[in-house]
Amino acid sequence: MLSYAIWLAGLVLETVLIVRAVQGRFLGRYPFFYSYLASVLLRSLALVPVFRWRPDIYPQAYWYSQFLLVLLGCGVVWEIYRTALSGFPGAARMAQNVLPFLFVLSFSRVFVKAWNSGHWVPGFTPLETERDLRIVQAALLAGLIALLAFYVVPIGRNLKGMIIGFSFFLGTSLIHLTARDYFGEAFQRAWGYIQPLAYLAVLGIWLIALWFYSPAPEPEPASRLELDYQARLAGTRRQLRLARSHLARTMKP
Amino acid sequence: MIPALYFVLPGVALLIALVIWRTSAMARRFSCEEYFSDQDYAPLSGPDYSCLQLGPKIFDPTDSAFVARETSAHFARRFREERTLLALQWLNQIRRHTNFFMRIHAKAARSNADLRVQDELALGFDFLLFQLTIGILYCAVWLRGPFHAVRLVRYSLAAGRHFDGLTRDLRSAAPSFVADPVVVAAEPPRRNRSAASG
Repeated sequence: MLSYAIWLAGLVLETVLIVRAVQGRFLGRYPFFYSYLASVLLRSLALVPVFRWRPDIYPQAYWYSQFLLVLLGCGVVWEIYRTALSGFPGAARMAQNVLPFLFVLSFSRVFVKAWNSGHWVPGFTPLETERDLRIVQAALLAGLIALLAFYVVPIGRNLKGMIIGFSFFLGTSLIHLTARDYFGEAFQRAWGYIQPLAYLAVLGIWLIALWFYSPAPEPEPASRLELDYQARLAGTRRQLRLARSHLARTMKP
Repeated sequence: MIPALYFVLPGVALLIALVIWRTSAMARRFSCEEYFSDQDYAPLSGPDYSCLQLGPKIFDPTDSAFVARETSAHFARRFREERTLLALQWLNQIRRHTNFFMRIHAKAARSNADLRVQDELALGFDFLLFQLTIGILYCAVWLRGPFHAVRLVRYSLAAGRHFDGLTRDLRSAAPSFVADPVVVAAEPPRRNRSAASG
């Protein structure tokens, strides 16, 4: 009964999110995010008749549709990157170099596993495969968060909510997918509640953040300091050297 | 259990990154916006410079030795505790100093299309190394006090220099090791030649 109520609450929250975006006319601003949300909603509804009338094919239907959602999740990460860094060419250039590196690093593991499996499937189980693909998403999102934090990129309420929600979702997914894989059937009952509850919390975060359209603040006009990058770089290096020399002088015998 | 922990790690790391990002965002924004409101080079005063000069005095054990010699053990202990707090404060100050300039740099770099990735990575690496040094030193001071920490650093530096010297000696000795077999290999024909000429 409780799991049914959680499932229903999830459907309601997803519908409200999409309806709010349509009402506020900002659905097109975040196409990947809302495609992802709509896909989750449609998948949940489409799986009901399968579960009721063809329970034998339900696991396959669930996991194949899940992979589609994981791919759409990668699109959400890309959308966050594109929207957040659109007004910051310097930070975007760093992201263009750092994120592909992180992608290759994390995806090479999935690729090697798929190569060795003989069936071109990375994991022994669908659960393991989903976890591996979620690790790729988590690596990309962690890299993006690191860049946003380092370059102090101002982002709007919508994007902030998307990042917090999606990070929370990925973090908890990795933890409970691993727990499910490690403890096996013993964890199944708890997993049945933990996963939907975590997703419900994520939907709550998204609902608060995306209740109305709130774009990222416009970047301020570049100051003299920002235009002269080489001078700034040299200045920062000088300050770092100065601090290091203070430290060295203190420690010198 | 260990492989399972390996898979949990990225998830936990992502959650921690998220928390750090959100908690540091407010403080960062405040100091940066304040600085950039002037939009000029002029206000590059940054944090308090004068206290950075005090480092050698704070870490100097001379007055602590004097206090230990001339006063009671209780007073000397209190003196060392106070000095530890002062040393930690100084380390915090030097860290704030570099953080301040890195934040200004980041804000200048983020909007600049001329940014060079190699330069940014090199600067980031230098900054990370400096932060790591400060962090280790902070732990050492917190655990053992400033005077022991300095002794530890000096000992490490001396050990480093010693190993560096050893490596250099080995390297300078290496050509003779390499040359010897060549000489040995080259010698017989020479001897043969001399024998033939003789």
